[in-house]
Amino acid sequence: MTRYLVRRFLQVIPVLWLVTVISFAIILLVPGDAAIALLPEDALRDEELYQYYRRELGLDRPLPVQYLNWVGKVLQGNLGVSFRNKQPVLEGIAQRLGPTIELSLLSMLVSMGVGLPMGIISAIKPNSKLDAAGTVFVLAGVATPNFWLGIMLILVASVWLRWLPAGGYVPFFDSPLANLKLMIMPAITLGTALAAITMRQTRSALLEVLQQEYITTARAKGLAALVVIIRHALKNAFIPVVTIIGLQMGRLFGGTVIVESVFGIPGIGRLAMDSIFGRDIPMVQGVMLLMGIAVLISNLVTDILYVYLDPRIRYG
Amino acid sequence: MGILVWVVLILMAITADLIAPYDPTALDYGAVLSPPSFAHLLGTDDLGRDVLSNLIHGSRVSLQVGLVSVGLATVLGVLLGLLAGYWGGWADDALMRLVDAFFAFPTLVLALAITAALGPSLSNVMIAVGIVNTPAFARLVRGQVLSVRERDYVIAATVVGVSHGRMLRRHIWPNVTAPLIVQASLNIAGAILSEASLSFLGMGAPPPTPSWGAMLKNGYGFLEQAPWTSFFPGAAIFITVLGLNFLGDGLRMALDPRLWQRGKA
Repeated sequence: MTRYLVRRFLQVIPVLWLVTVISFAIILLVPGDAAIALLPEDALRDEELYQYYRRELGLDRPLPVQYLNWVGKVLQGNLGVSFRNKQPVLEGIAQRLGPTIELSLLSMLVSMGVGLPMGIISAIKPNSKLDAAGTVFVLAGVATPNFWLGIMLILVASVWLRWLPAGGYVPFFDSPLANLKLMIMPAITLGTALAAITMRQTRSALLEVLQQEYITTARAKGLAALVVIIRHALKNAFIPVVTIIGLQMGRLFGGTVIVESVFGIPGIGRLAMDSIFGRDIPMVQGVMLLMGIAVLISNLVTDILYVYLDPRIRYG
Repeated sequence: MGILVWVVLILMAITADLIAPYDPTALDYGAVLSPPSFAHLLGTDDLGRDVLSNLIHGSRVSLQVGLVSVGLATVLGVLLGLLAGYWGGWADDALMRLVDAFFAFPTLVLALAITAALGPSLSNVMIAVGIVNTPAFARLVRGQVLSVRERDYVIAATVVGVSHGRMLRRHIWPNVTAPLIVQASLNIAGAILSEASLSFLGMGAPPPTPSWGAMLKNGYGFLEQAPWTSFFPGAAIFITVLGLNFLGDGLRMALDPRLWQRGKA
């Protein structure tokens, strides 16, 4: 186990380095260079100002030097300063983290609260009407564009029924009720596709476990069906499900960009989009780096959890 | 259903000029935000443009992005996957770590950043969606090559001195194609969804090119007065993605006899 953990940690290092390279490389894709993005509209042809910004940003130095400078600052916790509002990037990200974490947690709750029971019911009663309904949910959930689902929820729950506010954000500790009212639809929007994936995974994992001989033995011993499922089957079936849930982090982050835009939530996804649109390169680099690191950590934790949950796994 | 959606999408894209009842860019200020009627089967938008005609023409963008970006991802992914899987060693390590790093970024954020950096246009959307899909193909091809490389007939071919080119062409490649076709068909659906997402966020094909994502975004502003302007483009994306996913699953079943037998049992 320790050997595996050490090896797994060592594997992360080169990937983490490449994540910094890709985040940095975004600057290279900008036509011309990043200094142009800084020029005011009325001074786009001001050569002197352009050269000044190039020197300021260090763009006059060789590329490897630029990268090393940037990564050196990142290691000291300095992700640079936003082009748009001159705010330190890390500070900007920290301010927007709360709504995104809340949205992610609530979406995960929807994913597990809907996906797990549906998956279990489908597996216990395969080929039943409930199973068929579950299959339809999976197919529809994966194919539904989340922005469309969000808009349709707004149409029904806000415009027609006037049950919920269409968008905006109130911090949970300012007003828990107002916060939850605002977050229900975004969480459903983001959580539906994840719930479909969780449901599919739970169903197939549980179906496989239920065919194992030890389940037959437990049943033959006269154990109640529910006891067999809860005590014997679910424990093993949840191993691949945990992996799938852990690996949903990337999808979750991608989804926040859209969902936060549709519902006007001032989170990281919205920050990513605003920065990309505003060509705020330091902020884009910072947000991408943060998302990349978060996904890497999530994958690492999932892998470790996987080994912990399944003692049969023996890695070199 | 998958094949039906595929056929309808292709026919719609090819015959858009013939079957669309109106010019998709024609403005009709006398029929602004008209609900569905015989004159406009799916209603009109805020500029009086026919929603059905725009949907029909929008299929071209979806199909184009789906095919071109997945084609690009397939070519790049096959090259990288073959290189990593067949030659192995440091090339394999380096490429696979790069693939892992790409997987660490949410595809939509990466696609957004690439499109924004290159400038929003239909071709840049295709490039961005193609790039973000490449790692999945590279990983798939590499995995297939690795498993085939260890088979007895490949080892035997190596022993008798078969050249690398012939080995790749005759012995490795045929084993890679089936999963590649399945992956490509599933990724076309994903690419169409990505294009719609980028267009919805304002990073897709610039107006007046009709695109389902852009139509939805535009309709969102008139949700209360004209919900049909949001509903129908979203429904078109949903049906297309659903159908293409069906096709992908069907192909997987057809091309993998083990799955087929399991389904039969």
